[in-house]
Amino acid sequence: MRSDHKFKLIVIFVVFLLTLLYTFPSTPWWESSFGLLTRDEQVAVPFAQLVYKDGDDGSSGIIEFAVVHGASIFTKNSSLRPEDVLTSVADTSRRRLMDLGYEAKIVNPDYSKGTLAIRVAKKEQKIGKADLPKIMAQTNLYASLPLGLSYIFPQSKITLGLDLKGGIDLVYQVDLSSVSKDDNPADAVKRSVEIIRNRIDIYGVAEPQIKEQEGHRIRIQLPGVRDIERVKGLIQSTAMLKFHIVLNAGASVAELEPVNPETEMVLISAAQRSAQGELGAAQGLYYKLKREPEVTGRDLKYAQEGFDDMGGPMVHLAFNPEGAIKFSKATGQHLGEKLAIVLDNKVHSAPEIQSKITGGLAQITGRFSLDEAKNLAIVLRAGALPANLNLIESRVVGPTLGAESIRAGWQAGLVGAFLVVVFMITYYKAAGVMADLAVLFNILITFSALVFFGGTLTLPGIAGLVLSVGMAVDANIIIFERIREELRSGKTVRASIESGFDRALTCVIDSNVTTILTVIVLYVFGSGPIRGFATTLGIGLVANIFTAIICVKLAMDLFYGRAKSVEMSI
Amino acid sequence: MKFRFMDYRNQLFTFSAVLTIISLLLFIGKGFNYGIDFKGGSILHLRFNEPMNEPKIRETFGKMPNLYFKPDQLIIQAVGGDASGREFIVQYPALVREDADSSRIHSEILEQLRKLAPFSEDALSVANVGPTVGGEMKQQGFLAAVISIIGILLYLAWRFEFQSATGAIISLVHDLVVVSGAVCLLGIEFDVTVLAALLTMLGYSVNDSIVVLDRIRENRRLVRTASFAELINDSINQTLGRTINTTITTLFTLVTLLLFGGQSIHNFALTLTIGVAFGTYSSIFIAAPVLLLMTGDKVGKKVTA
Repeated sequence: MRSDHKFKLIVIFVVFLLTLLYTFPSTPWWESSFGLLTRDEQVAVPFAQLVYKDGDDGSSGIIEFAVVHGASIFTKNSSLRPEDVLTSVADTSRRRLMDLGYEAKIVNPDYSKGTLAIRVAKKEQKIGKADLPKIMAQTNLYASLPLGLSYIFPQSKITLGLDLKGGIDLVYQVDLSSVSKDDNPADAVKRSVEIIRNRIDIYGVAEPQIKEQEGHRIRIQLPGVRDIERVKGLIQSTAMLKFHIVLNAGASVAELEPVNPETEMVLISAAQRSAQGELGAAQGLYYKLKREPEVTGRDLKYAQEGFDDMGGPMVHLAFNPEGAIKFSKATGQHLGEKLAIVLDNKVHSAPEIQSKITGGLAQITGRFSLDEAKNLAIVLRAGALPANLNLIESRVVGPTLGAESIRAGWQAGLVGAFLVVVFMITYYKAAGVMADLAVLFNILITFSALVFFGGTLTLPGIAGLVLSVGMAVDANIIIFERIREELRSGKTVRASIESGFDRALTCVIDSNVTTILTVIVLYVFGSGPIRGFATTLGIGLVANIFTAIICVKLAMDLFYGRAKSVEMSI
Repeated sequence: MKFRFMDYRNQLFTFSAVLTIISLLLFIGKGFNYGIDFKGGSILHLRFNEPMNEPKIRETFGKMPNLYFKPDQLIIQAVGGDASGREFIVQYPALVREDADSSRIHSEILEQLRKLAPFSEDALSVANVGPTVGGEMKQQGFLAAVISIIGILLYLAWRFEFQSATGAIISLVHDLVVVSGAVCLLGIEFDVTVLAALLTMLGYSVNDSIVVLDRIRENRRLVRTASFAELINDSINQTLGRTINTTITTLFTLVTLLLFGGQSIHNFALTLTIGVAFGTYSSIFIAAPVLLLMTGDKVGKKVTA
């Protein structure tokens, strides 16, 4: 073998190996080989220490999980708590068991010992100790291959776009005219982004993307989130909390006249839930308030949802020392009067001040649902937004729809690739086989490059991948047709291959350049899904130059390398 | 077998010109059926728990109090592939005002629909685009198209001499106009994916023209016997195999995307399929004949750019 062939072969082999390494973790085979639980979880809560028991009701089985407190991941990362890992393992296991059609309940958690059990049952079927190992094997929770092998693979998996994974994509316009006069509007957008990020973090969403966009806008992408209304409420609530002394209250504004706009203002009460939970059922009440607030949310140290004596949800507040002083001064001076709790310019409640409050603690009660109380606590803790946000674009995709899109794209890809492969073999014989292998290699390269660069796979992205299969063989068709011509003109096989590749090269590059050009424009101007299309098609076309020219040329050189060969299968 | 394309160039020109004029008329008369990406509005992809139909859906919306649009303004489309008649795409127009309340209005519509005609939450997809965003997208899309075209023109100008580049450009414009006309004619909803398809089509259609023009240029250096028309005809015939085969393989993948790719990329696949087909047509029947027209039928005439 010639030395430059050897070199090319090594390069191709290395690239091939890398593509496999980067592709494998994103395939379904990964889970069946290395388990659904993360590597750390499998080390901390080892499979070897699972205990199987019969349930005391005689029809269910119990799986006991135990966390190893001295596991290396805890010594390496001191902020990681064993009970959190245990809960996360139990959650994943339970969900997985339920997906498989079992009833699964977490029982007897003992966090001090680090143990926890899951009771597994199935309707109209007795499950006992003996069935559990088989059920666990079905779940693919733990690695079936030695876990150590997984270390040769990179940790990264393909990132799916919201259109495939399901989730929420929101664009808000920051209303700068609503920034209060004593506040700085210049960094209002940046601060809003920070505050929204805090809120989302406290709420708990995996891989949220919160970005500032041109024109004072904020784009928020939350994969996997389903409860849209709650998230919208969480983001949009400006959470401007103020405490005002109530001067008067009435059923209409007219009753409260005269109002001195310099020192007084009138606000309406927030919509209240009726006893039946219907929003806005109760009649609104108007309050005349002292314009200057006594204390504001800026002096808040802490907010936490809780329950009042009647079991109704409420929010506990704790002020910082400065706030506590203001609060005690206000309550001391206005004993017997009413103090309005104003949230986002609506009076939430206006309890009577019965005594001077010195500890800096307060509560907001009202007819909350538990979710509302939780949301309120989150937004108060994360801080108030400096401006109002107007939702100007929102897209929500349900998880089922995304899964169906992946299936449809996969199906289209398989059928399309199959047709192309068959066509190439029928028309170009052995050379067609080489081109087909090159195309498959091209798909692998595109996919793993997407994983490597952290790109996002969207539905148009899958379309781009499928389309690149059809376009990738174009280069080989151009070359093969040229080789055929050269053969017809009476050249030898080797000479035909050489001049065929040589002469077709500029043409192949030419024909890719204009498409790559438009793909770049689409990448720059497109958002989300379109960018996904531009990415896969773009990578596919560039990789194509490598696979169609270098790889196929090498295959032909090796195949028809001996000077004697006079027949060519093309 | 050899086809005598150049003998029919006048008929071909006439045909292409007629196509272009019809497309332009369609474009002016009917215009694009802009989707919510470009004009704002809302799309709901719904899978109802019970079988539904168009009048029933309108009736359901009609029951909602304070609806800011009329139920006749709904655009309702049954999603194919689901024989049970439960899956629909419902569009309603954009809310003109954009303030803190607009998101609440959309939530309320969905909330009421949930009560009146329950649907699967997991299979739900909702998109609300405000009119401002839609308007900006239109501008940006237009800019993207202009930049793509300029980029391609610059590339062609750099790679080919004036006459050839003109041929490629005229065929490019023809493709853009005719495919846009087809999009208007078929009433394909013009969303961002369709724009992406149009631009991709531009990049791809130039490829075929380049291959033909490249071969003509090569033959001009080598062959000096035939007339220029003959030479162009030979070049087209020589590259015909590859022109057809590359188109076939690309169409294979596009048609499977069209058939199996699902609702969301249907418009994209359809536009690109039409685009690739016309792209091939124009490279053979427009780009080369224009070159002949501009150069004149002289053998081996030296051309300076």
